[in-house]
Amino acid sequence: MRFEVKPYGADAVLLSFGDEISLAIHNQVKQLYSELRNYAKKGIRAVIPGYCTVTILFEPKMVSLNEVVELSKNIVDNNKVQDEKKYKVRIPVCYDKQFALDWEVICDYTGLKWEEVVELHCCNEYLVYMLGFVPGFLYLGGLNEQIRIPRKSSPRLKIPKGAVGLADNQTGVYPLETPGGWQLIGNAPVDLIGVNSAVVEMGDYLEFFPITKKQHASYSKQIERILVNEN
Amino acid sequence: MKIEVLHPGLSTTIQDSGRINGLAYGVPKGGAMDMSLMHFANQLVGNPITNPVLEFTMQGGRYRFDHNSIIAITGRGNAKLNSEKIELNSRIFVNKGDVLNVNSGINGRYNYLSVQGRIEAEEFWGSFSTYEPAVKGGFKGRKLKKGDVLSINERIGNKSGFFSETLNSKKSVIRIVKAPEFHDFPEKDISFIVKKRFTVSLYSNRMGYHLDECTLEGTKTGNIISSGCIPGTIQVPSSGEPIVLMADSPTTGGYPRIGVIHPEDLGDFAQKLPGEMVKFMWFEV
Repeated sequence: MRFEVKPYGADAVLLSFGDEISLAIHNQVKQLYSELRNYAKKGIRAVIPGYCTVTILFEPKMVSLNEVVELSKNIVDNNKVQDEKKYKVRIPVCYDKQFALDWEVICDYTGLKWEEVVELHCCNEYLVYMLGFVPGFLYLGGLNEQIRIPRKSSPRLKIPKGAVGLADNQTGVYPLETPGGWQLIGNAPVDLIGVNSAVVEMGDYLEFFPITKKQHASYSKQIERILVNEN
Repeated sequence: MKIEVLHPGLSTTIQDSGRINGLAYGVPKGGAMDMSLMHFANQLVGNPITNPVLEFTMQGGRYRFDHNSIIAITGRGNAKLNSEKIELNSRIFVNKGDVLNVNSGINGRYNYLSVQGRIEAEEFWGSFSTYEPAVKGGFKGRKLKKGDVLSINERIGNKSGFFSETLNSKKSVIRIVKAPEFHDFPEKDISFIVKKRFTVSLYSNRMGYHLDECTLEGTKTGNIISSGCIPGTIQVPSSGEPIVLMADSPTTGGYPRIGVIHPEDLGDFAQKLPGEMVKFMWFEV
């Protein structure tokens, strides 16, 4: 599959692999993004992966738009055997009603008991499609259809760091205190962003596991990123 | 040496040239809103041009130096040392106990203070810029407050060879270049955005500037699948009211992008005060 070239100002370009959220497109984005990051010395200043797009910031004094596009075409065409490394991260979530501020709304909407909602949320594997919005925010795919619920009609002004929420086909963790309109189901007592490095990469798989209120209060472990297979 | 904050002004933060290593992880670029004035400030005192500086927003505040030093204030505002008016955009010698007072006046939003040496600050993703939403970088990740004390490391780092910054005259028309969804906008919008003058809204800060009297028809859907964005981008939500993304804007967005301000004009656009008029022109690169 080839990409469409969309110029983006004087020192950036966007390459688009399509207009839908799919694993096939995600893999294309991931491959191009991972490779392009090795070209910093040749004028590729930064690369931002999206669901179906790669935004490339370049230094026009070092490399032209055409050269960036050519380089990207070569990477896509010489699609080496896809990187089969699969990483997994496990995020602890306390689903206690103290944090699950919207549990009643969710139970009413889905017709499920709270324990069932929790079960469906944590017995599942999610794919990290991309990061964005605020530092360390993960765009996850794979939410069970039975617990999909629209976002709140008016957003809360303050959502605490670590809050876990649902919104339509998405679930996610607020890495820092922000305003937000998601239906809250719990809290994850972990840091999703370091001061100089990332904890989770796009393309990683993710699982939530339940912890008690007591464990939540004293939780001090870092998120582990585990290689689960290597070909 | 130390600088004591006697009055912090409206919104004074430590900024440098920003960070690009975290863009794929949701960490915004950040950095000075008017990059060339930040470089110029450092150049005047003989610092490496990307050293951290203080960025003053409109009302700059009052500061006391506990040591003799060399400083510079760049911008189009005004400043007093003790009760004497001093010149901006030049090298200034301050004595122990001197009190500096800075104000942006009516010709710009941001002014910068450099001090010979290095303002000590917290690092976040390779930059000393303050990023308030995450309470990271700069001075404790926040705006300065009354009573804060900044430390200056008086050693000068290695200068990078060639300096060419000066105070340029402000551009009267801001150049905009096509952005990814340009072709999804109706012809009407593309001509409207360069035809009229718009007003920079009161709702404008380091994250983004809203524009008044500028309502576009927008694209058919009014949204896109979240995709990587850069500062200067003019995004148009379904309301049709454009928002220009600025230094601390999110790294990804879900609104169609009609254009992006040329990087060389972004500082001049950032300098527009709330209520000030702006005129755009399309520019081909």
